Amino acid sequence: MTYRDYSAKVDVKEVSKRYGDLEVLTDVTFEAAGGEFVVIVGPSGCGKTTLLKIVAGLETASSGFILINGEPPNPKSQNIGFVFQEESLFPWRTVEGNVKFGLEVKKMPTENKVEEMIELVGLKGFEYYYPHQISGGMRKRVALARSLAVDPSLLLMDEPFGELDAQTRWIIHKELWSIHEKLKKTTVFVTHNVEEAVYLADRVVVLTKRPGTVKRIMPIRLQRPRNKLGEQFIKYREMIIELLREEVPSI
Amino acid sequence: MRKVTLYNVMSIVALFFFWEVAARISRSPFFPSFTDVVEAAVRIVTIGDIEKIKLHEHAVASILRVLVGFCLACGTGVPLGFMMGLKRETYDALKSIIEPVRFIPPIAWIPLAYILLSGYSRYILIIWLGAFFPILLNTMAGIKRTSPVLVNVAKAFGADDRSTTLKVVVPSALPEVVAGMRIGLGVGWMCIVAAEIIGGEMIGLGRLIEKAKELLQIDVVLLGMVAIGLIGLFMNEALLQAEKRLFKWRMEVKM
Repeated sequence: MTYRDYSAKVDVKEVSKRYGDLEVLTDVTFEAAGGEFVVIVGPSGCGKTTLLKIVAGLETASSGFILINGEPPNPKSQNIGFVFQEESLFPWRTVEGNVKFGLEVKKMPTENKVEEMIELVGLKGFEYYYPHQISGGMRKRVALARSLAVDPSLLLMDEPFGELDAQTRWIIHKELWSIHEKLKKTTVFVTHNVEEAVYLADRVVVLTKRPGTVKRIMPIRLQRPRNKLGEQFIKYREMIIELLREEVPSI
Repeated sequence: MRKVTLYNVMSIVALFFFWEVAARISRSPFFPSFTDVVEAAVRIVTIGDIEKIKLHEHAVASILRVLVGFCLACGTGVPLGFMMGLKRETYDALKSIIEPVRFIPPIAWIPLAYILLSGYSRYILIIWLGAFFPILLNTMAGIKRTSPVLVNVAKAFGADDRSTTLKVVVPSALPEVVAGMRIGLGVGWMCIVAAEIIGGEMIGLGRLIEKAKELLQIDVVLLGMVAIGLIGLFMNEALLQAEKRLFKWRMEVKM
Protein backbone atom coordinates (compact mmCIF):
# COMPACT_ATOMS: atom_id res chain seq x y z
CA MET A 1 0.00 0.00 0.00
CA THR A 2 1.35 3.38 -0.94
CA TYR A 3 -0.14 6.69 -0.04
CA ARG A 4 0.82 10.05 -1.34
CA ASP A 5 2.40 11.60 1.66
CA TYR A 6 1.01 15.07 1.83
CA SER A 7 -0.99 16.57 4.61
CA ALA A 8 -2.33 20.04 4.66
CA LYS A 9 -1.49 22.77 7.07
CA VAL A 10 -4.66 24.52 8.15
CA ASP A 11 -4.85 28.14 9.31
CA VAL A 12 -8.06 29.43 10.81
CA LYS A 13 -7.75 33.19 11.36
CA GLU A 14 -10.32 35.29 13.21
CA VAL A 15 -13.24 33.51 11.65
CA SER A 16 -16.70 34.87 12.53
CA LYS A 17 -20.07 33.73 11.30
CA ARG A 18 -23.39 35.52 11.59
CA TYR A 19 -26.81 34.43 10.36
CA GLY A 20 -28.66 37.73 10.29
CA ASP A 21 -28.58 38.98 13.87
CA LEU A 22 -27.47 35.64 15.27
CA GLU A 23 -23.76 35.52 15.90
CA VAL A 24 -22.58 31.93 15.86
CA LEU A 25 -18.80 32.24 15.84
CA THR A 26 -16.55 35.11 16.90
CA ASP A 27 -12.90 35.46 15.96
CA VAL A 28 -11.98 31.80 16.01
CA THR A 29 -8.28 31.33 15.50
CA PHE A 30 -6.32 28.09 15.58
CA GLU A 31 -4.14 26.07 13.32
CA ALA A 32 -3.39 22.48 12.52
CA ALA A 33 0.05 21.39 11.38
CA GLY A 34 0.53 18.80 8.65
CA GLY A 35 -0.47 15.38 9.97
CA GLU A 36 -1.78 16.77 13.24
CA PHE A 37 -4.97 15.51 14.89
CA VAL A 38 -6.90 18.48 16.28
CA VAL A 39 -10.12 17.97 18.22
CA ILE A 40 -12.61 20.78 18.75
CA VAL A 41 -14.86 20.51 21.78
CA GLY A 42 -17.50 22.90 22.98
CA PRO A 43 -20.97 23.09 24.47
CA SER A 44 -23.80 22.21 22.11
CA GLY A 45 -24.90 25.05 19.89
CA CYS A 46 -21.52 26.78 20.04
CA GLY A 47 -21.05 26.59 16.28
CA LYS A 48 -18.68 23.61 16.05
CA THR A 49 -20.40 22.13 13.04
CA THR A 50 -20.63 25.51 11.33
CA LEU A 51 -16.92 26.02 11.88
CA LEU A 52 -16.13 22.68 10.29
CA LYS A 53 -18.36 23.42 7.31
CA ILE A 54 -16.56 26.72 6.80
CA VAL A 55 -13.20 24.89 6.88
CA ALA A 56 -14.60 22.46 4.28
CA GLY A 57 -15.71 25.30 2.03
CA LEU A 58 -19.37 24.24 2.38
CA GLU A 59 -20.18 27.56 4.04
CA THR A 60 -18.47 30.92 3.94
CA ALA A 61 -17.21 32.92 6.90
CA SER A 62 -18.77 36.33 7.53
CA SER A 63 -15.30 37.63 8.33
CA GLY A 64 -11.84 36.23 8.83
CA PHE A 65 -10.30 33.59 6.60
CA ILE A 66 -9.16 30.03 6.35
CA LEU A 67 -6.14 28.79 4.49
CA ILE A 68 -5.49 25.18 3.60
CA ASN A 69 -1.90 24.91 2.44
CA GLY A 70 -2.03 28.65 1.84
CA GLU A 71 -5.21 28.58 -0.23
CA PRO A 72 -8.81 29.30 0.68
CA PRO A 73 -10.92 26.15 0.99
CA ASN A 74 -12.44 24.99 -2.28
CA PRO A 75 -13.81 21.45 -2.55
CA LYS A 76 -13.51 21.60 -6.33
CA SER A 77 -9.76 22.10 -6.44
CA GLN A 78 -8.75 20.51 -3.13
CA ASN A 79 -9.35 17.04 -1.82
CA ILE A 80 -11.02 17.42 1.53
CA GLY A 81 -12.60 14.47 3.29
CA PHE A 82 -15.72 15.18 5.33
CA VAL A 83 -17.37 12.65 7.61
CA PHE A 84 -20.82 13.85 8.60
CA GLN A 85 -22.59 13.55 11.91
CA GLU A 86 -25.79 12.23 10.31
CA GLU A 87 -26.28 9.06 8.30
CA SER A 88 -24.63 10.07 5.07
CA LEU A 89 -24.30 6.92 2.98
CA PHE A 90 -26.20 6.75 -0.28
CA PRO A 91 -28.79 4.07 0.49
CA TRP A 92 -29.07 3.05 -3.17
CA ARG A 93 -25.35 2.32 -3.43
CA THR A 94 -23.58 -0.71 -2.02
CA VAL A 95 -20.63 -0.34 0.33
CA GLU A 96 -18.37 -0.46 -2.72
CA GLY A 97 -20.49 2.06 -4.62
CA ASN A 98 -20.40 4.44 -1.68
CA VAL A 99 -16.63 4.25 -1.31
CA LYS A 100 -16.33 4.87 -5.04
CA PHE A 101 -18.51 7.99 -4.99
CA GLY A 102 -15.86 10.65 -4.40
CA LEU A 103 -13.55 9.06 -6.94
CA GLU A 104 -16.33 9.23 -9.53
CA VAL A 105 -17.04 12.88 -8.76
CA LYS A 106 -13.35 13.75 -8.89
CA LYS A 107 -12.91 11.60 -12.00
CA MET A 108 -10.06 9.73 -10.33
CA PRO A 109 -9.23 6.12 -11.21
CA THR A 110 -11.10 3.70 -8.98
CA GLU A 111 -9.18 0.47 -9.52
CA ASN A 112 -7.46 -0.88 -6.41
CA LYS A 113 -8.31 2.22 -4.42
CA VAL A 114 -11.82 1.12 -3.48
CA GLU A 115 -10.68 -2.33 -2.49
CA GLU A 116 -7.79 -0.89 -0.54
CA MET A 117 -10.04 1.50 1.41
CA ILE A 118 -12.59 -1.17 2.21
CA GLU A 119 -9.79 -3.33 3.52
CA LEU A 120 -8.33 -0.43 5.50
CA VAL A 121 -11.56 0.03 7.47
CA GLY A 122 -11.95 -3.73 7.91
CA LEU A 123 -15.00 -4.28 5.74
CA LYS A 124 -13.62 -6.82 3.30
CA GLY A 125 -16.41 -9.19 2.35
CA PHE A 126 -19.12 -6.54 2.77
CA GLU A 127 -18.54 -4.84 -0.61
CA TYR A 128 -21.94 -5.70 -2.02
CA TYR A 129 -24.04 -5.01 1.06
CA TYR A 130 -26.41 -2.07 1.13
CA PRO A 131 -26.21 0.44 4.00
CA HIS A 132 -29.43 -0.81 5.59
CA GLN A 133 -27.98 -4.30 5.78
CA ILE A 134 -24.99 -3.36 7.94
CA SER A 135 -24.62 -1.96 11.46
CA GLY A 136 -24.27 1.69 12.46
CA GLY A 137 -20.58 1.24 13.26
CA MET A 138 -19.97 -0.34 9.86
CA ARG A 139 -21.79 2.52 8.16
CA LYS A 140 -19.46 4.98 9.87
CA ARG A 141 -16.46 2.98 8.65
CA VAL A 142 -17.82 3.12 5.11
CA ALA A 143 -18.27 6.90 5.40
CA LEU A 144 -14.66 7.14 6.60
CA ALA A 145 -13.43 4.95 3.74
CA ARG A 146 -15.38 7.07 1.29
CA SER A 147 -13.73 10.30 2.44
CA LEU A 148 -10.28 8.72 2.54
CA ALA A 149 -10.58 7.23 -0.94
CA VAL A 150 -9.92 10.53 -2.68
CA ASP A 151 -6.63 10.82 -0.81
CA PRO A 152 -7.60 14.00 1.00
CA SER A 153 -4.93 16.28 2.36
CA LEU A 154 -7.34 17.18 5.14
CA LEU A 155 -9.91 15.05 6.95
CA LEU A 156 -12.80 16.77 8.69
CA MET A 157 -15.01 14.77 11.05
CA ASP A 158 -18.18 16.20 12.56
CA GLU A 159 -19.19 14.23 15.67
CA PRO A 160 -18.99 11.12 13.54
CA PHE A 161 -19.49 8.60 16.33
CA GLY A 162 -22.18 10.41 18.32
CA GLU A 163 -24.88 7.88 17.56
CA LEU A 164 -22.84 4.78 18.31
CA ASP A 165 -23.05 2.80 21.51
CA ALA A 166 -20.14 3.09 23.92
CA GLN A 167 -18.60 -0.27 23.02
CA THR A 168 -18.61 0.28 19.27
CA ARG A 169 -17.30 3.78 19.81
CA TRP A 170 -14.39 2.43 21.83
CA ILE A 171 -13.41 -0.01 19.08
CA ILE A 172 -13.76 2.55 16.36
CA HIS A 173 -11.56 5.05 18.26
CA LYS A 174 -8.73 2.55 18.23
CA GLU A 175 -9.25 1.86 14.56
CA LEU A 176 -9.40 5.52 13.67
CA TRP A 177 -6.17 6.14 15.50
CA SER A 178 -4.35 3.32 13.74
CA ILE A 179 -5.62 4.58 10.38
CA HIS A 180 -4.40 8.05 11.28
CA GLU A 181 -0.98 6.69 12.15
CA LYS A 182 -0.84 4.89 8.83
CA LEU A 183 -2.03 7.76 6.62
CA LYS A 184 -0.99 10.81 8.63
CA LYS A 185 -3.79 12.97 7.28
CA THR A 186 -4.27 16.28 9.00
CA THR A 187 -7.54 15.79 10.89
CA VAL A 188 -9.95 18.24 12.46
CA PHE A 189 -12.45 16.36 14.57
CA VAL A 190 -15.47 17.90 16.28
CA THR A 191 -17.10 16.31 19.31
CA HIS A 192 -18.77 17.09 22.60
CA ASN A 193 -17.41 13.91 24.10
CA VAL A 194 -14.39 14.85 26.21
CA GLU A 195 -13.06 11.32 26.59
CA GLU A 196 -13.06 10.93 22.82
CA ALA A 197 -11.21 14.24 22.52
CA VAL A 198 -8.46 13.32 24.97
CA TYR A 199 -8.07 9.86 23.46
CA LEU A 200 -7.62 11.07 19.89
CA ALA A 201 -6.19 14.58 19.99
CA ASP A 202 -2.71 15.91 19.60
CA ARG A 203 -4.31 19.19 20.63
CA VAL A 204 -7.77 20.01 21.92
CA VAL A 205 -9.38 23.32 21.00
CA VAL A 206 -12.00 24.25 23.61
CA LEU A 207 -14.70 26.62 22.40
CA THR A 208 -16.93 28.84 24.53
CA LYS A 209 -20.72 28.84 24.38
CA ARG A 210 -22.36 30.73 21.53
CA PRO A 211 -21.04 32.86 19.95
CA GLY A 212 -18.21 30.35 19.95
CA THR A 213 -14.67 31.53 20.30
CA VAL A 214 -11.48 29.77 21.34
CA LYS A 215 -11.31 29.46 25.12
CA ARG A 216 -8.19 27.37 25.39
CA ILE A 217 -5.94 25.28 23.18
CA MET A 218 -4.61 22.34 25.10
CA PRO A 219 -1.89 20.01 23.81
CA ILE A 220 -2.38 16.46 25.07
CA ARG A 221 1.06 15.20 25.99
CA LEU A 222 0.30 11.54 26.50
CA GLN A 223 1.92 8.53 24.95
CA ARG A 224 0.02 6.44 22.44
CA PRO A 225 -1.87 4.20 22.60
CA ARG A 226 -3.61 6.04 25.39
CA ASN A 227 -5.19 4.41 28.39
CA LYS A 228 -8.60 5.88 29.09
CA LEU A 229 -8.26 4.90 32.74
CA GLY A 230 -4.75 6.27 33.21
CA GLU A 231 -4.17 8.90 35.86
CA GLN A 232 -2.86 11.51 33.41
CA PHE A 233 -5.68 10.78 31.00
CA ILE A 234 -8.28 11.41 33.67
CA LYS A 235 -6.50 14.60 34.71
CA TYR A 236 -6.70 15.96 31.16
CA ARG A 237 -10.31 14.88 30.93
CA GLU A 238 -11.24 16.64 34.17
CA MET A 239 -9.41 19.79 33.11
CA ILE A 240 -11.40 20.01 29.88
CA ILE A 241 -14.68 19.17 31.57
CA GLU A 242 -13.96 21.96 34.05
CA LEU A 243 -13.38 24.41 31.18
CA LEU A 244 -16.67 23.38 29.60
CA ARG A 245 -18.51 23.56 32.92
CA GLU A 246 -17.63 27.22 33.15
CA GLU A 247 -19.50 27.67 29.89
CA VAL A 248 -22.57 25.68 30.79
CA PRO A 249 -23.15 25.84 34.55
CA SER A 250 -25.58 22.94 34.52
CA ILE A 251 -23.33 20.13 33.25
CA MET B 1 -48.67 -15.71 4.50
CA ARG B 2 -50.82 -18.78 3.91
CA LYS B 3 -53.23 -17.55 6.54
CA VAL B 4 -53.63 -14.30 4.59
CA THR B 5 -54.38 -16.24 1.42
CA LEU B 6 -56.95 -18.29 3.29
CA TYR B 7 -58.68 -15.14 4.57
CA ASN B 8 -58.71 -13.68 1.07
CA VAL B 9 -60.24 -16.79 -0.42
CA MET B 10 -62.81 -16.90 2.37
CA SER B 11 -63.95 -13.31 1.86
CA ILE B 12 -64.21 -13.76 -1.92
CA VAL B 13 -66.21 -16.95 -1.55
CA ALA B 14 -68.49 -15.22 0.96
CA LEU B 15 -69.04 -12.30 -1.41
CA PHE B 16 -69.99 -14.60 -4.29
CA PHE B 17 -72.25 -16.61 -2.03
CA PHE B 18 -74.24 -13.64 -0.68
CA TRP B 19 -74.40 -12.10 -4.14
CA GLU B 20 -75.81 -15.29 -5.56
CA VAL B 21 -78.35 -15.63 -2.73
CA ALA B 22 -79.43 -11.98 -2.95
CA ALA B 23 -79.84 -12.17 -6.72
CA ARG B 24 -81.91 -15.36 -6.53
CA ILE B 25 -84.16 -13.95 -3.83
CA SER B 26 -84.74 -10.67 -5.70
CA ARG B 27 -85.60 -12.45 -8.98
CA SER B 28 -85.16 -9.13 -10.72
CA PRO B 29 -83.96 -9.20 -14.36
CA PHE B 30 -81.80 -6.19 -13.52
CA PHE B 31 -79.94 -7.93 -10.73
CA PRO B 32 -77.91 -10.70 -12.32
CA SER B 33 -76.48 -13.36 -10.06
CA PHE B 34 -72.86 -14.37 -9.91
CA THR B 35 -73.51 -17.37 -12.14
CA ASP B 36 -75.27 -15.10 -14.68
CA VAL B 37 -72.11 -13.00 -14.88
CA VAL B 38 -69.98 -16.13 -15.28
CA GLU B 39 -72.25 -17.24 -18.12
CA ALA B 40 -71.98 -13.79 -19.68
CA ALA B 41 -68.22 -14.01 -19.36
CA VAL B 42 -68.14 -17.34 -21.18
CA ARG B 43 -70.32 -15.87 -23.90
CA ILE B 44 -68.29 -12.68 -24.38
CA VAL B 45 -64.98 -14.54 -24.23
CA THR B 46 -65.95 -17.17 -26.80
CA ILE B 47 -68.54 -15.59 -29.09
CA GLY B 48 -68.21 -11.88 -28.36
CA ASP B 49 -70.77 -9.13 -27.83
CA ILE B 50 -73.49 -8.25 -30.37
CA GLU B 51 -70.80 -7.04 -32.74
CA LYS B 52 -68.82 -10.23 -32.21
CA ILE B 53 -66.05 -8.34 -30.41
CA LYS B 54 -64.55 -10.65 -27.82
CA LEU B 55 -63.64 -9.74 -24.27
CA HIS B 56 -59.89 -9.88 -24.79
CA GLU B 57 -60.20 -7.59 -27.81
CA HIS B 58 -62.03 -5.04 -25.69
CA ALA B 59 -59.39 -5.37 -23.00
CA VAL B 60 -56.43 -5.01 -25.36
CA ALA B 61 -57.97 -1.93 -26.97
CA SER B 62 -58.49 -0.30 -23.58
CA ILE B 63 -55.04 -1.20 -22.30
CA LEU B 64 -53.37 0.24 -25.39
CA ARG B 65 -55.28 3.50 -25.07
CA VAL B 66 -54.38 3.80 -21.43
CA LEU B 67 -50.74 3.02 -22.12
CA VAL B 68 -50.51 5.72 -24.78
CA GLY B 69 -52.10 8.28 -22.46
CA PHE B 70 -49.94 7.09 -19.59
CA CYS B 71 -46.70 7.33 -21.60
CA LEU B 72 -47.64 10.85 -22.59
CA ALA B 73 -48.31 11.68 -18.94
CA CYS B 74 -44.88 10.30 -17.98
CA GLY B 75 -43.23 12.22 -20.79
CA THR B 76 -44.74 15.46 -19.57
CA GLY B 77 -45.17 14.92 -15.83
CA VAL B 78 -41.71 13.59 -15.01
CA PRO B 79 -39.67 16.38 -16.67
CA LEU B 80 -41.97 19.11 -15.39
CA GLY B 81 -41.98 17.58 -11.90
CA PHE B 82 -38.19 17.51 -11.98
CA MET B 83 -37.99 21.16 -12.93
CA MET B 84 -40.51 22.14 -10.28
CA GLY B 85 -38.66 20.14 -7.64
CA LEU B 86 -35.24 21.47 -8.55
CA LYS B 87 -36.15 25.10 -9.06
CA ARG B 88 -38.62 26.59 -6.66
CA GLU B 89 -39.27 29.39 -9.14
CA THR B 90 -40.77 26.96 -11.65
CA TYR B 91 -43.23 25.72 -9.07
CA ASP B 92 -44.04 29.23 -7.86
CA ALA B 93 -44.67 30.34 -11.42
CA LEU B 94 -46.90 27.38 -12.30
CA LYS B 95 -48.68 26.67 -9.04
CA SER B 96 -51.55 29.10 -9.64
CA ILE B 97 -52.39 27.10 -12.76
CA ILE B 98 -51.59 23.59 -11.60
CA GLU B 99 -53.19 23.65 -8.19
CA PRO B 100 -56.76 24.53 -9.29
CA VAL B 101 -56.63 22.53 -12.52
CA ARG B 102 -55.72 19.31 -10.74
CA PHE B 103 -58.99 19.41 -8.83
CA ILE B 104 -61.06 19.40 -12.03
CA PRO B 105 -61.96 15.72 -12.46
CA PRO B 106 -61.26 14.20 -15.87
CA ILE B 107 -65.01 13.62 -16.39
CA ALA B 108 -65.56 17.39 -16.24
CA TRP B 109 -63.38 17.68 -19.34
CA ILE B 110 -65.64 15.37 -21.35
CA PRO B 111 -67.86 18.03 -22.94
CA LEU B 112 -64.82 20.06 -23.93
CA ALA B 113 -63.03 17.02 -25.34
CA TYR B 114 -66.21 16.06 -27.17
CA ILE B 115 -66.47 19.42 -28.89
CA LEU B 116 -62.82 20.26 -29.48
CA LEU B 117 -61.28 16.89 -30.27
CA SER B 118 -62.05 13.87 -32.35
CA GLY B 119 -61.15 10.21 -32.45
CA TYR B 120 -58.17 8.91 -30.55
CA SER B 121 -57.15 12.25 -29.08
CA ARG B 122 -60.29 12.26 -26.94
CA TYR B 123 -59.23 9.08 -25.16
CA ILE B 124 -55.72 10.36 -24.76
CA LEU B 125 -56.73 13.69 -23.27
CA ILE B 126 -58.96 12.14 -20.62
CA ILE B 127 -56.44 9.47 -19.64
CA TRP B 128 -53.57 11.95 -19.68
CA LEU B 129 -55.53 14.22 -17.34
CA GLY B 130 -55.98 11.35 -14.90
CA ALA B 131 -52.38 10.15 -14.98
CA PHE B 132 -50.52 13.45 -15.25
CA PHE B 133 -51.04 15.01 -11.82
CA PRO B 134 -50.03 12.08 -9.60
CA ILE B 135 -46.89 11.67 -11.71
CA LEU B 136 -46.10 15.38 -11.63
CA LEU B 137 -46.65 15.86 -7.92
CA ASN B 138 -44.88 12.68 -6.82
CA THR B 139 -41.87 13.50 -8.95
CA MET B 140 -41.70 16.99 -7.47
CA ALA B 141 -42.09 15.67 -3.93
CA GLY B 142 -39.38 13.06 -4.51
CA ILE B 143 -36.92 15.65 -5.74
CA LYS B 144 -37.67 17.99 -2.86
CA ARG B 145 -37.24 15.26 -0.29
CA THR B 146 -33.60 14.68 -1.23
CA SER B 147 -31.60 14.66 1.99
CA PRO B 148 -29.52 17.83 2.36
CA VAL B 149 -26.80 15.74 4.03
CA LEU B 150 -26.40 13.61 0.90
CA VAL B 151 -26.22 16.76 -1.23
CA ASN B 152 -23.53 18.07 1.12
CA VAL B 153 -21.56 14.84 0.74
CA ALA B 154 -21.42 15.48 -2.99
CA LYS B 155 -20.54 19.16 -2.47
CA ALA B 156 -17.75 18.26 -0.05
CA PHE B 157 -16.21 16.22 -2.87
CA GLY B 158 -16.47 19.28 -5.09
CA ALA B 159 -19.36 18.01 -7.21
CA ASP B 160 -20.93 20.62 -9.48
CA ASP B 161 -24.70 21.08 -9.74
CA ARG B 162 -24.98 18.76 -12.70
CA SER B 163 -23.30 15.77 -11.15
CA THR B 164 -25.00 16.43 -7.80
CA THR B 165 -28.33 16.24 -9.62
CA LEU B 166 -27.39 13.13 -11.58
CA LYS B 167 -25.66 11.22 -8.82
CA VAL B 168 -27.66 12.27 -5.76
CA VAL B 169 -30.98 13.95 -6.52
CA VAL B 170 -32.16 11.67 -9.33
CA PRO B 171 -31.40 8.31 -7.71
CA SER B 172 -32.80 9.51 -4.40
CA ALA B 173 -36.06 10.65 -6.04
CA LEU B 174 -36.45 7.66 -8.32
CA PRO B 175 -38.59 5.49 -6.01
CA GLU B 176 -41.08 8.29 -5.60
CA VAL B 177 -41.11 8.98 -9.33
CA VAL B 178 -41.89 5.36 -10.06
CA ALA B 179 -44.52 5.24 -7.29
CA GLY B 180 -46.08 8.30 -8.91
CA MET B 181 -46.10 6.48 -12.22
CA ARG B 182 -47.83 3.51 -10.63
CA ILE B 183 -50.50 5.74 -9.10
CA GLY B 184 -50.83 7.66 -12.39
CA LEU B 185 -51.33 4.45 -14.33
CA GLY B 186 -54.03 3.42 -11.88
CA VAL B 187 -55.87 6.72 -12.14
CA GLY B 188 -55.48 6.71 -15.93
CA TRP B 189 -56.94 3.23 -16.02
CA MET B 190 -59.89 4.36 -13.91
CA CYS B 191 -60.60 7.05 -16.52
CA ILE B 192 -61.01 4.46 -19.29
CA VAL B 193 -64.80 4.26 -19.08
CA ALA B 194 -65.17 8.04 -19.18
CA ALA B 195 -62.76 8.24 -22.10
CA GLU B 196 -64.43 5.49 -24.09
CA ILE B 197 -67.93 6.85 -23.65
CA ILE B 198 -66.91 9.79 -25.85
CA GLY B 199 -64.36 7.89 -27.91
CA GLY B 200 -66.64 6.87 -30.75
CA GLU B 201 -65.18 3.45 -31.52
CA MET B 202 -67.22 0.39 -30.58
CA ILE B 203 -64.32 -1.44 -28.96
CA GLY B 204 -62.95 -1.14 -25.44
CA LEU B 205 -64.10 -2.24 -21.99
CA GLY B 206 -65.80 1.10 -21.34
CA ARG B 207 -67.62 0.73 -24.64
CA LEU B 208 -68.64 -2.80 -23.75
CA ILE B 209 -70.26 -1.49 -20.57
CA GLU B 210 -71.94 1.34 -22.47
CA LYS B 211 -73.29 -0.98 -25.17
CA ALA B 212 -74.54 -3.54 -22.64
CA LYS B 213 -76.25 -0.78 -20.67
CA GLU B 214 -78.25 0.22 -23.72
CA LEU B 215 -79.27 -3.41 -24.28
CA LEU B 216 -80.10 -3.79 -20.58
CA GLN B 217 -77.56 -6.63 -20.33
CA ILE B 218 -76.67 -5.95 -16.73
CA ASP B 219 -74.65 -9.16 -16.50
CA VAL B 220 -72.35 -7.86 -19.25
CA VAL B 221 -72.13 -4.48 -17.54
CA LEU B 222 -70.94 -6.24 -14.39
CA LEU B 223 -68.54 -8.36 -16.42
CA GLY B 224 -66.99 -5.21 -17.87
CA MET B 225 -66.65 -3.72 -14.41
CA VAL B 226 -65.03 -6.84 -13.00
CA ALA B 227 -62.62 -6.97 -15.95
CA ILE B 228 -61.59 -3.35 -15.37
CA GLY B 229 -61.06 -4.04 -11.69
CA LEU B 230 -58.96 -7.14 -12.26
CA ILE B 231 -56.79 -5.60 -14.96
CA GLY B 232 -56.19 -2.54 -12.75
CA LEU B 233 -55.21 -4.79 -9.87
CA PHE B 234 -52.86 -6.76 -12.07
CA MET B 235 -51.12 -3.67 -13.46
CA ASN B 236 -50.67 -2.22 -9.98
CA GLU B 237 -49.26 -5.48 -8.62
CA ALA B 238 -46.88 -5.83 -11.54
CA LEU B 239 -45.48 -2.34 -10.99
CA LEU B 240 -45.33 -2.86 -7.24
CA GLN B 241 -43.26 -5.99 -7.73
CA ALA B 242 -40.99 -4.12 -10.15
CA GLU B 243 -40.54 -1.37 -7.56
CA LYS B 244 -39.67 -3.86 -4.86
CA ARG B 245 -37.06 -5.37 -7.08
CA LEU B 246 -35.66 -2.09 -8.32
CA PHE B 247 -35.53 -0.36 -4.97
CA LYS B 248 -34.62 -3.11 -2.57
CA TRP B 249 -32.24 -0.61 -0.98
CA ARG B 250 -35.32 1.08 0.44
CA MET B 251 -36.16 -2.03 2.45
CA GLU B 252 -39.84 -1.71 1.78
CA VAL B 253 -41.79 0.09 -0.89
CA LYS B 254 -44.58 2.15 0.53
CA MET B 255 -48.03 1.21 -0.68
